[in-house]
Amino acid sequence: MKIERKKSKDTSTLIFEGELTIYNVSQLKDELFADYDKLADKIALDLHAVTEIDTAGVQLLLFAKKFFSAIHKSVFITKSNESVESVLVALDVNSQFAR
Amino acid sequence: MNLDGALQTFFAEAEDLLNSMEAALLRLDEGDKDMETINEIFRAAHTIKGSAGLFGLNDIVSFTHIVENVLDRARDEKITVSGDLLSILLPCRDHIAVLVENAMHERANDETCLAQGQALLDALKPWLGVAAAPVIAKQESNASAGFFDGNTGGSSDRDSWHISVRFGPDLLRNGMDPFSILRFLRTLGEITHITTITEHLPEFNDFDPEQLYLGFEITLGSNASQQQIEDAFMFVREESSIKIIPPRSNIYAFVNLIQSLPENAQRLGEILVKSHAITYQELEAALATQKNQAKALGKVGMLGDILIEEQAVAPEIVNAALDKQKKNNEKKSSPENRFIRVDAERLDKLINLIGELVINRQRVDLLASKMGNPTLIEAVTSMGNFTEAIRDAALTLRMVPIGDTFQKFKRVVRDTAKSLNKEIELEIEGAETELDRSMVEKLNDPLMHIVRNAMDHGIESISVRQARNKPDSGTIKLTARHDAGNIVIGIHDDGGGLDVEKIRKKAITNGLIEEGVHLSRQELFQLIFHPGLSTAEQVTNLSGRGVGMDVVKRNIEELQGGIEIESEMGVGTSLSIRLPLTLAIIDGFHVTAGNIDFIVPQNTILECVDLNSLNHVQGQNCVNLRGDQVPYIRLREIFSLQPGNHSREKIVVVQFGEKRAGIVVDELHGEIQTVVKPMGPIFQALKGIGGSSLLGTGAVALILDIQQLISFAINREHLRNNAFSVNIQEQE
Repeated sequence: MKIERKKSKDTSTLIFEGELTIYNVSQLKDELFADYDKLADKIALDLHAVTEIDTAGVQLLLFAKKFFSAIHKSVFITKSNESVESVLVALDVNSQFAR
Repeated sequence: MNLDGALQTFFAEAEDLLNSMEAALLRLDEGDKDMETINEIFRAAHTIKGSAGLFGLNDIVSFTHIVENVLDRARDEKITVSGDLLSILLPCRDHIAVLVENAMHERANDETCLAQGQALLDALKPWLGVAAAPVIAKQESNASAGFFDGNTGGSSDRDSWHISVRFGPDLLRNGMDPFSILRFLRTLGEITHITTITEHLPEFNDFDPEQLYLGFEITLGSNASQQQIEDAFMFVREESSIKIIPPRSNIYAFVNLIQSLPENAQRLGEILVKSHAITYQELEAALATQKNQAKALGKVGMLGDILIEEQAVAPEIVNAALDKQKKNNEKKSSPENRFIRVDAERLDKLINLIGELVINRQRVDLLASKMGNPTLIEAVTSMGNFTEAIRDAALTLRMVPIGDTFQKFKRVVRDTAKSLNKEIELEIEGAETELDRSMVEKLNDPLMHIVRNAMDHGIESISVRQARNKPDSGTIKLTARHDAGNIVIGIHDDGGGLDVEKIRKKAITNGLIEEGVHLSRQELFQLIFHPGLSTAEQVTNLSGRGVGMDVVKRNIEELQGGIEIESEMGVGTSLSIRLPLTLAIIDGFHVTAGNIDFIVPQNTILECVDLNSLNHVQGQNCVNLRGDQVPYIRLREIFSLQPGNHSREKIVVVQFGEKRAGIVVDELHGEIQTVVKPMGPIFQALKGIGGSSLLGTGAVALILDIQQLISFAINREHLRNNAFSVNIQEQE
């Protein structure tokens, strides 16, 4: 699992790849928030390459949303896949990541 | 709560249930007409379905559900169970057994198996009745389809339950995912609305991503009973807060819910309104009524009063309660309740009291022998035997098999191996070995770290393994066995092994050892427990979880245990953790040195000899014991006690793991039951002392920490032999 960062004008895109589960959320947290002040004001999450997501993974995304909102950065999902989408919909948190 | 352990329990239970189901079916076949027999079969099917749903074993759920429906009709006397039906129900039972068996071995159910199941279900159709059929079709599609392709619209003809859950913080870490519960709820009906509560996500620095902060407000459309819904939370009930409101409950039930939850009332109210549980007007009115009444009565928290006054308790709640009671009564008649759950605190209290009893018995012993009355001595001796028996029996109450802990690693290994792109199998040996419950809890973290280390740094990637002519799949083996009053836990992997040279170089770079100092293999291995020594070339996502090997070692030492390492490059690594069985009461050996009483744990003692009868190794604190050199220490010397009579010194030869040493004392007194009291905080840094105990005379005896003393003796001889050999003459 890794997170790739891309920056264009006013948007930073974070591309997640691999599993997003209890087994790597600790590592992902460090990666996600490393040098977060360098991120643009709009943060786009690209989740299309996430192979598996569990409650811990969803919780990390919700935490990111809450954290960045507090420092006036918006967080939304640009790309996703069926399995991620189904989990987010099942917990009814998908709307929180709308653009 | 550990789900994998729970899964094992489910398999064991399912086997029992299937057996009693078979027996009951056969009784029916022999002409038994008792309603209780049908009830028994129904209960068995019902319980299997419920538990299977919790673990996402959907094939079992969908099949058993239909069998259960047929049995339910038999229970309601809509159909009679006779020859024809029996000849289908028996194979149905066998089919459930096959499904359970497959699940146990993590085998997928193949097509033949599923076709057999379908054939049986088709055969059951005539007994199903018309009304049940559509429900079944629905259930089936839910069970087999993905998580969220079900109908999300409200269902007006069904009852809606409201469920409010705040999970325990350690749920995720314990290998449990709240999704499995949602998945099970979906087998009971339809989740028409769900709100994920994120209010408890903490500030950045306090956020631990492995801890669970979320909660759910769920609206469930279902015909299930309260018991069935409660069962969904069976495995998380203890640590979580779960509130279930039955359908068509009075508005005050929701007001009560809002008040009992920690979140903001306004927000909760909105959630409930949004999920159609209540209307906005109702909520406003109820809150207002309560406020007024509170004012009038001059007190708060009288919601119970309102409920009664307004006759708010809906008939459904009463029904649900009755239903539950009925179920409980049914349970009593089954043979399940062979275990009693006891509060751990009560158990600890009992052990403490028995500790006091043991001390007092020693006092009585002493007094009796002083008085010299033979009848009294005899009575006291036999009382003593019983005291010991009581002590042993009480200690076994705290003993639990280590298997549950080991089982937890199955999922960890499977999932971690996947994320590392390695193939790793976990073998377990000696799961039935028992040890003290309090120690099991403290073992979890160190074991987890060692196993993760073995998977991450030990087992090689598939390509490396192929190059080394090893099987693609690596093996990690967890073992446990008893060994002379200790429990030995082994963690073995067939990975790359430890690189002694790399450890040495790293240790020299980090200034842990000096260049040119000779260390044995074992001593070099032990360096990995030093903080800040990691030999992994690459830090992967598993390392750096905050627990280092130094913490592992410290945890084990806190349990009076030790770790030994054996490793061979390219072949694998074995760690053995050696722990005492219990920390509460031990068999001790009473000795004195310099007029101070000491206790040597009996299970560490090899023999006691007169020091003067042994040959001393010239110029060293070492004796020759049947050809072996055994280093020794004088208690009087290391604790700076008063000098005593040197001519009568005794040596107690002790062993811990593979290491031996002698402890020189002034006098031996003999075996004694020792109640271990931990040392006060001031003394905890004191080396060589593990605790204290009261003697029958009321004097305090210090319990020796044999492991530390042995290391001390060996290290001292080591230094003497190497760096300080010049000074020997002066010291002696």
